[in-house]
Amino acid sequence: MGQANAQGSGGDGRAAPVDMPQAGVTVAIEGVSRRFRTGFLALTEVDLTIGAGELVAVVGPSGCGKSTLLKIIAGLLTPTDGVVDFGGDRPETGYVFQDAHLLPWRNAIRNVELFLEVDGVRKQERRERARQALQLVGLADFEGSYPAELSGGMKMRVSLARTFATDPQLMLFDEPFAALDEITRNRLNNDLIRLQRDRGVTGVFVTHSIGEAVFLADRVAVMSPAPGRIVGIVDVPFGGDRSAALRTSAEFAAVARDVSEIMAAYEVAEGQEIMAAKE
Amino acid sequence: MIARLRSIAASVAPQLIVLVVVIFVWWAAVRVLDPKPFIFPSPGRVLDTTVNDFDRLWIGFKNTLYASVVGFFFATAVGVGAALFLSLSRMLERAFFPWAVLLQTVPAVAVAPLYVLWWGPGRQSVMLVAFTITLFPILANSLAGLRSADAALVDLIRLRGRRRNSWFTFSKIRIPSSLPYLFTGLRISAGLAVIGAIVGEIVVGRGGDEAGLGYWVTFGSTQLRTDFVFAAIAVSSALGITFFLLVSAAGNRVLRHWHESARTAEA
Ligand SMILES: Nc1ncnc2c1ncn2[C@@H]1O[C@H](COP(=O)(O)OP(=O)(O)OP(=O)(O)O)[C@@H](O)[C@H]1O
Ligand SMILES: [Mg+2]
Repeated sequence: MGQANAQGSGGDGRAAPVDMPQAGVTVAIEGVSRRFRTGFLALTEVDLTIGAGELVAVVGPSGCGKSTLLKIIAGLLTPTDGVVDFGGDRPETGYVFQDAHLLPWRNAIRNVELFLEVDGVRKQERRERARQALQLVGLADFEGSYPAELSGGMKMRVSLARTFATDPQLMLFDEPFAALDEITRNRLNNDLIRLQRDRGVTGVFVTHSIGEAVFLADRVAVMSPAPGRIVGIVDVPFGGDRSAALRTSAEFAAVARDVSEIMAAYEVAEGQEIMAAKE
Repeated sequence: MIARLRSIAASVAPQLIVLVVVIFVWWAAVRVLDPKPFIFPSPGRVLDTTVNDFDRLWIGFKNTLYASVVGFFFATAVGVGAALFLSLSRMLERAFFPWAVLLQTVPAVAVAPLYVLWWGPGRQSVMLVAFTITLFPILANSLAGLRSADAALVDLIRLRGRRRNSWFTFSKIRIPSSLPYLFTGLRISAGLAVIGAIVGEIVVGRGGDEAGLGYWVTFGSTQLRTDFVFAAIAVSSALGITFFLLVSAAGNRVLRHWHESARTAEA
């Protein structure tokens, strides 16, 4: 992977894979279940198809199996049942966690180079691509800074740049901005949506924040408490162009309400089951 | 440069003041209580002996330095090697590490006579005691360090087709992650190496060209030359402290960009 695709290079002759549109990949999750060795059933019969270039947000109560689902999509965990089908080879996948997971002894640009190094990309090209990726996340001036010298939001940007530098066709986000303050989080959301849409990358975004889910995603999938399964999917009809003003609009609030109603229904249903079991 | 010297002076001044006060109290106490010199010599007397018996102490210094440095380096090689091996799998660690803990509980004084029995009353035995006493802190700390690598990052690299035990993961993630821990182990062991060598020399009891500071301590006490014992002990401590400081400095240098503590210490 990591081959710059020719379309849209416009003949300017610049080897600039990171800011070229890249065709995303389709992800078909079919009947995926996962039982842990402890006997705990974390996911049951999850079905979800994500179109090429689509961004799906996944929300659900804590412990419902969201991270487990991402690990299965990434290939870090195998499902006990079901399959994840990409319609071909496993795509180049980027994975971003809640924490930046940088190497403290490497400065920003050397951190961004890490995955390219794993892939055996030559030094000069590595530098170049890392520099572009840092530019993309607005950290061009901080390439020499060490993680200890960067704020939480900046570290997260470096982490994003590190992933984008590898030209992923599929991006998995596991509450990447949960540890940040609201202002930084909104700003990163704005940046992310731009990066994601520009490049047409397929994405799955796990979050606890309904607002974040609705702002970012084309669809929001709601999961039930464990054993997790998808109990509702809400379409987000705002297209690709999302401005900060969207957050305060009535349409936005309406979609967010739909999502919370599904979530609330399941919390209540769960509660009633527990009550029923006690009687 | 001048600013740097000044900051060094500022940081060692409090320690030097304590030293001066302790020596003064010692001097005053000996002056007032007037014990027999073979029970408790005055600082002046110890200093005289250090100067007069400089040749002997110098031989001792060289031998002890040599034995502790060799023991320390062997322990570093074996300890780091073993830690790398045990870090390959949880299984290996579970099988072997508990036995390594035994090392820590074996008293060096007790094994020294065995070494003499097996390898004779020579330098090897002294070095082996230094080796034995320094091995565990190095092994345990480097193993903890190798285990401390960011597991999520190792997973991300695994996704790109490099296994957890691949050379890439070791060289770029796990070994660098272990360095602060390794240097903690080395610092502890630097001081211990000198103690181990001295214990070894006391048990081996070889004088002449091979006389170490441990030998001079025994020699001085059998002759009731307490001033000489004091001088040998002082030289031993100076040796241990110097060794410790050198290893610390090497650590700070290597970790300059690693650890915040090392970095702020430099600033
Ligand atoms: N390795 C494991 N062995 C056993 N149980 C596990 C394991 N990993 C996760 N679980 C359990 O599976 C359930 C789902 O975990 P997961 O981390 O996917 O939840 P999550 O939805 O991401 O939660 P959160 O929102 O708090 O991050 C949890 O109840 C957890 O205890
Ligand atoms: Mg999670």
